[in-house]
Amino acid sequence: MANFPHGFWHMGGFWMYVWPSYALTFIVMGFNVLAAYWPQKDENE
Amino acid sequence: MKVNGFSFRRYFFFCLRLLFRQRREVALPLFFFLLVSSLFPLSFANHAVPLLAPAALWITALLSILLSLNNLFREDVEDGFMEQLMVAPQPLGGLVAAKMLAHWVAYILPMFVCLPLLGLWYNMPSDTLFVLSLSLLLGTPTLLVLGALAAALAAGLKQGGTLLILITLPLATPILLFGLTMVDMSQNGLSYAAARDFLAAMAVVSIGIGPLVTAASLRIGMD
Amino acid sequence: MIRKFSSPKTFYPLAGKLMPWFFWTFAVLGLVGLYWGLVLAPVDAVQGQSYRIMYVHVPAAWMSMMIYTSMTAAAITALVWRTKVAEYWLLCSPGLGASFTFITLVTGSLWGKPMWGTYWVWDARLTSELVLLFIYFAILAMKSAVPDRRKAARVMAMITVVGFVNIPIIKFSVDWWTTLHQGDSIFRKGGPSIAPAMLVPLFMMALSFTSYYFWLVLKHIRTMIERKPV
Repeated sequence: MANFPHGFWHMGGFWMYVWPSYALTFIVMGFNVLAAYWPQKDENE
Repeated sequence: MKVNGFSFRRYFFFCLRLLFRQRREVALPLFFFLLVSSLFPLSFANHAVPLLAPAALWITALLSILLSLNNLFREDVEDGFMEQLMVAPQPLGGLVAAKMLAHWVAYILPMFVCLPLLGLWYNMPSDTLFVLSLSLLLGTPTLLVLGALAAALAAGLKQGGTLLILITLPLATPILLFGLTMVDMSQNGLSYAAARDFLAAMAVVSIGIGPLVTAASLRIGMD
Repeated sequence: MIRKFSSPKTFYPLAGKLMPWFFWTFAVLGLVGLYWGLVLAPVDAVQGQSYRIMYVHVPAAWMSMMIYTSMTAAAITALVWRTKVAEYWLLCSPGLGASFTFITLVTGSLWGKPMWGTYWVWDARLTSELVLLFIYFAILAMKSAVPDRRKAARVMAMITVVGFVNIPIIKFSVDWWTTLHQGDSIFRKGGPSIAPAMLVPLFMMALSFTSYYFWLVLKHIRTMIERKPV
């Protein structure tokens, strides 16, 4: 609990760079889940 | 072995004769090379020309090799001659090697003949021109093998030409970078031995196993 | 034994049994690793908060190379023994590999801005990672260009094996050339240079991402077998 909650939300860099990285990672990973469970019909059938 | 050697030589000259007969088409990638090479000095500021010359020439050479490779196997595959070669008693790898050697002589050798002229255009000092020529000499066999491999895989496909470029460019990037490292090192008065040895090693590997791998790719591509 | 394992008929139920394990490893380690990495781990003395990008950037970078390596193994198996499961593995992996390479590049840029003052430099490691993305794209392009599934797999296998040269170039680029990208701080002589409180969540995220990859590859292979039974 070293730095939470004090300062966590306005520490340099979090809003600018950290959370977009995580958001992008999870969005791309989510798309891959969709691709594995429901691949496109025309996929080399 | 003697039979193979004989057929290698005979097939090599056969390919060369064929290429000579279509010399107008064979000259097109060379024209492309000269044309694009002249565009760079035209569009750069004068003082930037010597700085960018090696990169411009390497990239242009790479692109014109890709342009020439489009036709390496396509005609043979389309008119069924490739199937004849595949069932021939001679190993396909040897025949492919002969074809690639003929391709190198017809398309890439003329580029080296033009290099001194381009050196003049780019105001290149003679030792830079020498190192650039050496880097291209060591790099082009690998480029040719990578491109031939891609051409073999893409031979039967509709979008073959585009795919050939799409596959070869990322695979060829390390060769391009090492070739330019070599020139860059020598321009800065440093030893370029490491990059030269890497390119030479890649060339030896490419010449050694390239034709076999290309032959295997042809069999996959023709499947 | 290997022949039996590699036939889709035995692989299908086996993959079905393994999938939940991989999924739960991914989910549990991912959640714990995220909480640990984002909340519990101390702020870096030099980099402040922005070092927390490491917990997605570094595992994603490992994955981009690990997936390519697994594809190379599958490619050799598919070319030499024409194993069907290896072909499926090859068909299902490059999408995930390209995704992780893309994540690596974008998160790396977002980390580079506060650290180096620029989103992108053409240094050896960044360039070779970008080339890896283009190789994944080339493999994917061949996948969609060849209509027949088995032929597509073998064409992809050929490109994969040739492109493998790039993997050691990425791995050792920070040792061979002096680059802006920092050297290897985890797998290096004399042990890692990162504090354990920061390192444990990193390994958790790495294991979580690896499980995610196996979970989805197995699922994708099962979907393909369902679509076109063998």
